Amino acid sequence: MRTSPCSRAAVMSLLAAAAIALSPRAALAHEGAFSVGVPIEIDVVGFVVGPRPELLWRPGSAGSVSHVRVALGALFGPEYGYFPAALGWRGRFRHGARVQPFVGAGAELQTFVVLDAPPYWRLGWYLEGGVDVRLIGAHHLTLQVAPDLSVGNHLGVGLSTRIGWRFDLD
Amino acid sequence: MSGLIRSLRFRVRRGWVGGTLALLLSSPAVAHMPAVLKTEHVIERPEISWALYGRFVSGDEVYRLKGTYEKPFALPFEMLVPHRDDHRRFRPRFAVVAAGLPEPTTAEREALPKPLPAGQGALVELNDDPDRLVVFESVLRRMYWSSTPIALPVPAGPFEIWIWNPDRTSGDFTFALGVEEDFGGGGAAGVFEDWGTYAY
Repeated sequence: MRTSPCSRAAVMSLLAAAAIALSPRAALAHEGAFSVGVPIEIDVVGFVVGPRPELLWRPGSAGSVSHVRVALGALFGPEYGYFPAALGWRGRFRHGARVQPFVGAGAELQTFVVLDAPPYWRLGWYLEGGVDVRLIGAHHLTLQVAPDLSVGNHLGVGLSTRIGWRFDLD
Repeated sequence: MSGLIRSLRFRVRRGWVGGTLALLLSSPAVAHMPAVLKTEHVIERPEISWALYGRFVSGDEVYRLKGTYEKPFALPFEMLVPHRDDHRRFRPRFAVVAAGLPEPTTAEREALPKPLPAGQGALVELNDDPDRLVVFESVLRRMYWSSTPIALPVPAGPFEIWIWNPDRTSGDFTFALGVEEDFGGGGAAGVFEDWGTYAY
């Protein structure tokens, strides 16, 4: 099959753009101090589903591992609404790589809401782990799992799974 | 009463969750021994606390629990139903029946699913309070409507608990009784084998 010079040039341009977008250098160029994520969370203990947006801030220099994580969620299930607010640390590794694993830990204020009673709240501690898979440029697919433990006024455990999108702000 | 409400920290299972929850269940926090309720159910150790999970399928069922106290025993009883829209009007009733308990009122007697045997008294919970207590069960993150715990001294000897649904509708419920936690014999481990009954 023969192609015109224009077509070949267009294909080559697209391939080059994709290669640049997927390259570690391009990824590093997108890694500013902040990134936002919008994963959808499913809680395995106490069934609720909903978005858990998160903001990551890297206080150190580009390429450093440590990030501060702030996340708020609004999840709903058959018995109640669940509104967690988390503050923690997340370590992201393999900067510039297409697949970036991460781990983290932090504190979480968990609020369980029904309409006919005062809300129940408790302070918990979470761990998290997962991977960010770079799709193109600053866009990532994020996969996370996060167990948590509460030992305060309402003893209990939790297990969350999340899948969603994360975007590095320049 | 609030102590009992806080004590509603029962049931669970599987993997790391199971291990952690087993640890929690054996913690000093007061908790109920979970079990699946049978239509004819013998409470082997009525001196410990139980959370008995049952389901009305046809709505016509009458659960009958039997037990015996060697000596007089005071304990709370409570009916819980899931805090879900499809259970908003679901209000199973129960009666504790034993010799030496007070005579029920006429209305209570008429509400019973079967005649009270001669010589028996009963505590009848009609579960008809318009404003129901909401209970958060924190281990499995469940929310329930409660009939509100009723503490009752049960005389020594045999007793029965009848559970029925006057509306004859289907639904899930948890009948809780007792205070003293005891997970001896690996009873709580059974929870992990039947996740769908105790959680989602």
